[in-house]
Amino acid sequence: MKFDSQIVPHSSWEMAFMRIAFIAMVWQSVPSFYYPAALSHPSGLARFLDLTFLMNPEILGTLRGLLAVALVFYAAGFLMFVSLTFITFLLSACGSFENSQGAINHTLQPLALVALAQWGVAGYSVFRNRVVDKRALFPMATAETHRRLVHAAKVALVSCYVTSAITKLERSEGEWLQRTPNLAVAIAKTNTKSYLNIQEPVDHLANAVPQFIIDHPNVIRVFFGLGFALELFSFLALLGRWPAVLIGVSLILMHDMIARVMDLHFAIFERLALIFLVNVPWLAALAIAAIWNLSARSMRRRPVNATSR
Amino acid sequence: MAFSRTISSGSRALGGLLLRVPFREVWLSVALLLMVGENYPFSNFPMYSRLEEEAVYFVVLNGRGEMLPYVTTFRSRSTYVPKALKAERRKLENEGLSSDAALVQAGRNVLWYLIQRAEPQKRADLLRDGLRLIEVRISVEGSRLKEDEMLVAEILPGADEVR
Repeated sequence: MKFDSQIVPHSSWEMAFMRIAFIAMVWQSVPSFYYPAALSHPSGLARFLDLTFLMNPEILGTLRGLLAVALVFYAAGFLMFVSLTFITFLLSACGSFENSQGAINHTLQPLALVALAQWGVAGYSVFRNRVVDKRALFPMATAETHRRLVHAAKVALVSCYVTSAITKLERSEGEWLQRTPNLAVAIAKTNTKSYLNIQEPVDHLANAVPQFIIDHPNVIRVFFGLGFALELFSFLALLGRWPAVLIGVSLILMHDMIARVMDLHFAIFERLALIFLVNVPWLAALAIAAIWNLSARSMRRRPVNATSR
Repeated sequence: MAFSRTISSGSRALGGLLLRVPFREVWLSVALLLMVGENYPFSNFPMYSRLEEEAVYFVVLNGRGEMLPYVTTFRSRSTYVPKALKAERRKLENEGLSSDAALVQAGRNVLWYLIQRAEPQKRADLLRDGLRLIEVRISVEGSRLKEDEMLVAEILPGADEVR
């Protein structure tokens, strides 16, 4: 195996499952209404465009209607560049709107980044077909284009993790691992979140973790060191199908553990890893084929055993 | 002519070199995310990157000293206040306020913003009782966690809704 990223030769049915799962996520992520808010700290698209129109329920309703059409086109592989232009715009607009109110959150970012990366690839594909290869414009994406789109999604996702690891190194002046015992105060702070939000008492496990960290700093360095290494080397998921499954499952487990200990949920990251890296339908097909082969083999053996008896 | 030939052969060599770098699309994408920083949908994902020895959270108390939950009282979240306070303070400092004055004013602005987000029928009660924004600083002392509280800003009881 070459030590470089590979565009995995996914079958068309696998990629169809990926597109359907992706559009379900996009649909759930675009809200149907927004509370009135002041965009006092513009971020991203809000720097260039007045996004307050999103607070108008009629406009947002129309945009969601157009989004539904774009998502159906996307799932069908029809006019990919046009549909991705709209999907990327709306995801970026909603995310910018939410992040321009003074507080930044990173829950939806990878979804918009995946759409943006796919939009870039779809645009390049149209450009190459029309300008370089001088072919007539064909509205249905080929299997090869879909494979490139899936690859773009994987690149966007793993880039988030690698960037996060590099930022940790840069902001902690290379001392992130040594400083991991300081997570005790960070987790103690995070644990107050549920109580501050709805006065819900803190979970017993979450309460015990900060003291465990204070008492066992080196165990914590090893434990979080593994998570850090997983983030930094997550790009190895691009080596092929099985590395993607391995890293995808590890990332999901890491997020699950973080959710239990710190009550921090990164559902979008987990679901993107499940769709594009773990690729559950392919694993299920593999398992079914293996069971089928086993039972077929045992069926072939049975008459032989019967005659020998 | 010679210069442009040098430039074009240089860029071709750079392109050729880049094509030989494994996972080049990841490095380009990471470089873009780091350069653009916090501009949606781009981000350098700075959560838990500094890991400082202290952590801070904020509590809003009413005039009777009761803690007000963010979601049910203000239709907001606890994560909003520290980020909004930081952004608002930076904005006021850029407008020429001293660091301390900017913190107090930013705290008051955040409290007013929370009041505006509250359901209309709750606003009158909130204003009648007054609000206090408290900073709670967590650190480790010996081998135990310690919390220190400090008043950041206050809206006195009976304040007018129209500022």
